[in-house]
Amino acid sequence: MDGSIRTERVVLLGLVTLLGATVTVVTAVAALAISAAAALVVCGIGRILRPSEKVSDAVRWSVLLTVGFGISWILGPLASYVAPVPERAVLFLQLSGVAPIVYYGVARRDGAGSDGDARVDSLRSWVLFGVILLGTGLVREVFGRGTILGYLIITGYAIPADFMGSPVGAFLMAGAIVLAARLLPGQRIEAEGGVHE
Amino acid sequence: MSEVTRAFLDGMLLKNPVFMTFTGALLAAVIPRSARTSWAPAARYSVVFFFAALLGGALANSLSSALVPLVFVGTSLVSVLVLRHLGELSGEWMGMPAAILAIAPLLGIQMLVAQAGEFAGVVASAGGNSLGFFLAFVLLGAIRETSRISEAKPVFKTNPVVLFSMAVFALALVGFIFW
Repeated sequence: MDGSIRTERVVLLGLVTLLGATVTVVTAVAALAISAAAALVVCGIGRILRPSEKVSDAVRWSVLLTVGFGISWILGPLASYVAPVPERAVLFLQLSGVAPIVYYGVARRDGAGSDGDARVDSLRSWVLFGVILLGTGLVREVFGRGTILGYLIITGYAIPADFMGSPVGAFLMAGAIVLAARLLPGQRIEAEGGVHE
Repeated sequence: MSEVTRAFLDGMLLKNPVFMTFTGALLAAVIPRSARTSWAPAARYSVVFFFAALLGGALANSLSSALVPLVFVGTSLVSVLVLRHLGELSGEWMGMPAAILAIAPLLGIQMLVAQAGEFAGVVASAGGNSLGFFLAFVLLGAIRETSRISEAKPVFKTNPVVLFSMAVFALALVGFIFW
C-alpha cells in the first residue's frame, strides 16, 4: 500500500470524526482518545468473537458496532467535563465509536494472512489518523479562532478566518489532505483516481 | 415561520446531514457513482432514514434516558437490515461490511431529530434530514461521475473533487437564515 493510498484510506475511514471533531485541538485530542479506546475494546471483543459457524457475521458485527457506539456514547459527554469541548462537537465525539477506522483492525485481522501483518498495518493507519486528526485540529483552530489550545496567538490586525471553524473549513482540510497525499512525488494513482473501494 | 416549518428547513439545509452535520458525509461521498444510478438508492436510503429518525426520535423523547442509546442502536441495526433487504450496502468496503457506512448517518440523524422535541417537530426534522440526504446523494453522484469522465489528470479526480465540492455546498448552505 503506497503512502497516498494509505492517507486517502485513513481520511475516508475516519471522515465523520475528522470533519466534526477537529474544530479545536482539544476536541481532536478527545476524539482521538475516544476512538482509540473504542478501537481497543472492539479489537479485544473481535478477538474473542472470531468468525465461526456458531457466530454469524451479522451478529458479530452488530455486537462490535454496539460496543463501539456504547463506549463513545458514554465517553463523549464526559470529555466536556475534562476539557473545553464545544457543545456542537459532543455529537461527533459520541459518534466517533462507529467510524470505520475503529473497526479497521478487526477487518484487517479477518482479511490478513497473519496477525502480525494486520497489527502493523492497523498501527500505521492509527498513527497516521492521529497525525491527520491533530494536524487538522491545529490548523482549524489557529486559522478559524486565532488560538492554540484556547490561548490567543493572533493579535493586532489579524482577523481569524471564521470559515475554517465551519463545515466549509472541515471539507477543505479533508480535500487538501487527500490531494496533497496524491501529489507527493512517486505516487501512482489509478486511472479513475482514488483508492480501491 | 412556524416551528415545524423551521425544523423541516433546518433539517434539509442548515443541518443537512451530509454537508452541515457530516453524519452522512462518508456514505454520500463513497457510494453514489453517477447521477442516473443514484436516484433509486438515494430514495431507498432517504425513506429508511426517515422512518428510522421518526422511530428513534419519537422513542428517545418518550423513554427513559438510559434506554435511548439502545433504541438508537436497535433502530440503526434494523434499518441496515431493511436497506440490505432492499439491495443496498451489499458486499464489503475496505475489508469490512459495507453496512458500516450507514451506521453513523442512522445514529446521527436519530440523535439530531430527537432534539426537535415535540412529535410534529420530530416528523418535520426527519423529513428535512431525509430530503436533504436525498439531494446531497444525487448531487455527489453527479459530481463523482463528472470528475471521473473529465480529462483532468487522475490525481485530481474523484475523492478530492468530491470533498472540495462538499466544501462549496457547505458554503452555500451556511448562507441560509430562517426567522
